[in-house]
Amino acid sequence: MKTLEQENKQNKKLSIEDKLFLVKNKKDKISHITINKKICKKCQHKACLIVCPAKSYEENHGTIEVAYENCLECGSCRVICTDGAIKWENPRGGFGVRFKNG
Amino acid sequence: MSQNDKVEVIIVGAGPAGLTCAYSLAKRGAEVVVIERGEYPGAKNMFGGIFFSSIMEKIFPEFFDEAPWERFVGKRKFSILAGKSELAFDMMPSAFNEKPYNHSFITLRGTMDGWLAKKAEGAGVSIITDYCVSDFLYEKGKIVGITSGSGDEDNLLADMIVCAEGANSILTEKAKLRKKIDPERRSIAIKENMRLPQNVIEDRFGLAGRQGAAFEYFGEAVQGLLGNGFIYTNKDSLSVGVGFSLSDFIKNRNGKNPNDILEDFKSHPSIAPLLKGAEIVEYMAHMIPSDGFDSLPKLYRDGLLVIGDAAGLLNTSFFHEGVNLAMASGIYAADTIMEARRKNDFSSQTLSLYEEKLKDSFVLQDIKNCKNFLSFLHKNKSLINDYPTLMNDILVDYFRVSEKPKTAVKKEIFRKVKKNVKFTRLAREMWGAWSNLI
Repeated sequence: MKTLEQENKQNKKLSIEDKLFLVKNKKDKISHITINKKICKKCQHKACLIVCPAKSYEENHGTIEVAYENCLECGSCRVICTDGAIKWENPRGGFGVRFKNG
Repeated sequence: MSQNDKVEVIIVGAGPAGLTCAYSLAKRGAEVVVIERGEYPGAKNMFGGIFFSSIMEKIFPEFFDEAPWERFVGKRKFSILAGKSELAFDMMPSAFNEKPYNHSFITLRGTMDGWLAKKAEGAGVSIITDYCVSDFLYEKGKIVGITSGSGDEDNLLADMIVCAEGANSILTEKAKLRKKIDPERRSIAIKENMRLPQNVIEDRFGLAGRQGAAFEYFGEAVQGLLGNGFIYTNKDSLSVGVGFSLSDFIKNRNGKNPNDILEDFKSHPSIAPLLKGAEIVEYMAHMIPSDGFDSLPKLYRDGLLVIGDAAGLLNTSFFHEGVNLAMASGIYAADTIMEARRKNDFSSQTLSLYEEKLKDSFVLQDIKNCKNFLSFLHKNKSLINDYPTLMNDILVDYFRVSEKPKTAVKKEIFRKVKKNVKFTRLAREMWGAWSNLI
């Protein structure tokens, strides 16, 4: 007999990349998110790195970069950026995510 | 559009608030244009899953027969996850399983917002999609129009603008109606749509016909953050997700991102069997307002009204009503605009009527009533974390089969409780819970 854990392991797990692949998204060439590096450097919590549900934020050699193409447009990073380093505008009309089952 | 194009009312955002406002105005003869940044109404919208429909059904009595709702909420469960255990309160009130089904319908926004948009268009509303409003246009301090920021030819002017932009209220900030949003005033919710055959859903959740289940999970479901996990049954898919306060990601971080927390939730031994064989079709994210009565934005200024999520109009308590309040605010905004139109005066003085109407209704009264709900829970996390775990431990001890005499078991339990609970503190917390949560 299998343990509960073994039984439940049968459920398929998708990586975040696979999940993002499922999202219909018309990607713009222009980023709708910009980061003010000067302000960003002073930030103590860097919560953008963990709050983004698309894992769009990454830290490279002390600098935070954003892969705006993966953005799900929730805006959480903008709100959590308490110092205001992240400038977040809605993607231009017609661009960005297209949810079906929201 | 040319630079001088002008209409009577522009509504920014084709969600339930904006479309209701538009429909209500058009029905009374006003010229209304709804501007939507997505490719279709609903393209940028997401919610947990329950459409509270009492306002909807007042406007559209055909809602029940015609609207694309998935299932009515016949079964509800409030559950606490502790470790690998679950403790739950299950309900299936017969009153909620017959018309009007407690005005609670599990819904997907893509289809429902589209249905509402068709109703608005039927009443004469024009809906322009693929247009993102980047800012308002001003004239002597009055808001007089909108711009996409890509050139004057896209500008559109109006007597009145209604901002129904949603929870990520960028325009409301630009119009100086609110300061930069505090992370404590927003939650993030992520959701997956998981396909599962209709008969499997009905067998697995014990549902008959169009009956649906709304399961909400607290405690370990969101790993000590302030929020909850959920499963809602659609016709042939499940809405599965988690939501939690953004401020917890600053204060209370455990390094996990929302998707990690969702995956942990989905693999909990109580949840995983419910999802067996379900295929992920879509992954979505959205913010939820939790402004609360004391930090609502200013709701109007010359030429502008703010409605729905943009105005922070959401019942943040156990009820989690959003759509209902959004639609009500849309109607009160429409009533106010009709009055302003009659007087030909769109100044903030006339528009203040909107706030009066909200105050006289369940919208602001309910928001006022639950104003301490979230701050109380933020300050008293033991209520959602420690006590549920202890409660689970106690029940496990109580029901555990052994040869130990039950009187000895009871004594042990009492000692455990005494060790873990300070009764004066518990009394204080219970009183706080009674006055702030219920």
